[in-house]
Amino acid sequence: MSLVVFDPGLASRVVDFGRPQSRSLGVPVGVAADRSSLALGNALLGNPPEAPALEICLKGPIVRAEVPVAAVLFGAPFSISSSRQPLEMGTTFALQTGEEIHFGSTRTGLRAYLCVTGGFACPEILGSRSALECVTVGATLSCQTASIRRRFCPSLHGAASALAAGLRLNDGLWLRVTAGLQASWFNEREFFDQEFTVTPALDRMGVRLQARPLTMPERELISEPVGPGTVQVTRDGQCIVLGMDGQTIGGYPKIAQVIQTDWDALGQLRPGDRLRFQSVTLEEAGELYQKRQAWLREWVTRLRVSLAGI
Amino acid sequence: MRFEPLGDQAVMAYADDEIGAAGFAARVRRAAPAWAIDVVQAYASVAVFYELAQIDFFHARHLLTELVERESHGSPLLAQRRHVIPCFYELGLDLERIASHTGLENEAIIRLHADAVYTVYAIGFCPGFPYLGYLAEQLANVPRLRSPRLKVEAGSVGLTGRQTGIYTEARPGGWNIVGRTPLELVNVADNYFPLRTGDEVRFERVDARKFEKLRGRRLPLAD
Repeated sequence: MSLVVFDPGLASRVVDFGRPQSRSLGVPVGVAADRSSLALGNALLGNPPEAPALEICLKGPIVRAEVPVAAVLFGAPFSISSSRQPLEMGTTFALQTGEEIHFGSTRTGLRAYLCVTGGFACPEILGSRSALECVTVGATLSCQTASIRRRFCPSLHGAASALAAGLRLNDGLWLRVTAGLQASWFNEREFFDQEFTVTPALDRMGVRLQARPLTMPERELISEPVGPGTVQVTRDGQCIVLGMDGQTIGGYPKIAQVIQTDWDALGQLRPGDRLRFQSVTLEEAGELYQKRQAWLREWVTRLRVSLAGI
Repeated sequence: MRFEPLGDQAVMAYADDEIGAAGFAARVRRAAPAWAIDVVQAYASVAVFYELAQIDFFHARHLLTELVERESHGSPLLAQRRHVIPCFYELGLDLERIASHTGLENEAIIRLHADAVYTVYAIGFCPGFPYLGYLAEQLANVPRLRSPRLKVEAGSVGLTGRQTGIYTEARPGGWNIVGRTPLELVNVADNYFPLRTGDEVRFERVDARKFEKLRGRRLPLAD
């Protein structure tokens, strides 16, 4: 017994870096929607980047510690409170036995990760500890007994990593894409020249966007494999961006693919956000990914080294 | 074989037909290159997902081209397994709709659906969901429901276009429901995935008694 869930929140579930080889079984990868936030939260506790954490979404849960627990919440700036101590997103805290914490909501972004020392102990399914369902009332999240001193990550403090990476620019949010496999079926100007609004139809499976409908081709596609970041256009000319628990095969034409570098930002889109797409080449996507990985590795290393030094 | 990028995560291979795609998927799985994460086939297309930290599209495409050239002759396919799946057609919610589109009587629809031998051309949509092809000509081209059902019960057997398939888990869905199988055909937590791309599937008509008796059972081991 470790953390008991009193109120599950909107859509809280345990995730790690996902199932590596489940797509051919029709099971989505199930990776954390904002992998960088998960990795950085874990690094603050000295965990490996992929240690299982509780992904919270829009409205957080209420949990009570059954044993002393060392934890941190990292990602979008959720409010967080305990009757015993002031708590802050992005700063580690120690919970005493019986202490209850309330995770509120967030003004920007969508998701954050409640990381605990050692990660949550969950059954492994297809090579991952990502859960297949959200947590429910009364659920117990097992973790080790631990304590920790207050620490935080200075330049990332209080900000979702997606924001820290500079993706949210002054002139709005951009997602970078490479061409979709059926991009030539569409008038791409219609896609790149307008702004899209994120609708409330949003979960780990995908994000439905709203904009002036695209002109639809008079063609049908035979279902083919798809992946996270695939931008599908449904019959009404609207776009759906598939998420980390998106379907593995799809029959809608694909106009674009969000590059992997921007998947964390995709996982932080919230209803009402407005965004545009920017076209990049595959070569640019590769370079951006290497840079992003290097940035993340550097922060993870710095946090872990500074922890070892305490 | 044509190779195209599925974004920066996979090489999409388009084969001439489903058999060519199955052969290619089997070859890649057998070669199991360290950079390849997962291989997913759907009909005549195969996505080979790669680890972008290790390789990019251009390099992966090059290696896959070499693989195809090296092994284009006489590569045996995966052993094809045969399954017989019981189906209770009296739970076919859309038989009337199928009848009005095809002009067939309910009994004829059931006979045509149960008489065919299908191939699993893809597993996807939801865990373990088999895309089966192809329907008898007379049953083909019934469009999806105008507005999808919010919940299709697990086990429901649906059809649309030239395909039939089984909702292995309860999901929203727009296929025309022709019947329901009592069997459990997926259990992710238990790593139970009895159907694989390339397998052969036949439906066997069962009555209400047999449906109840078989409810929740699993497939007998395939030969």
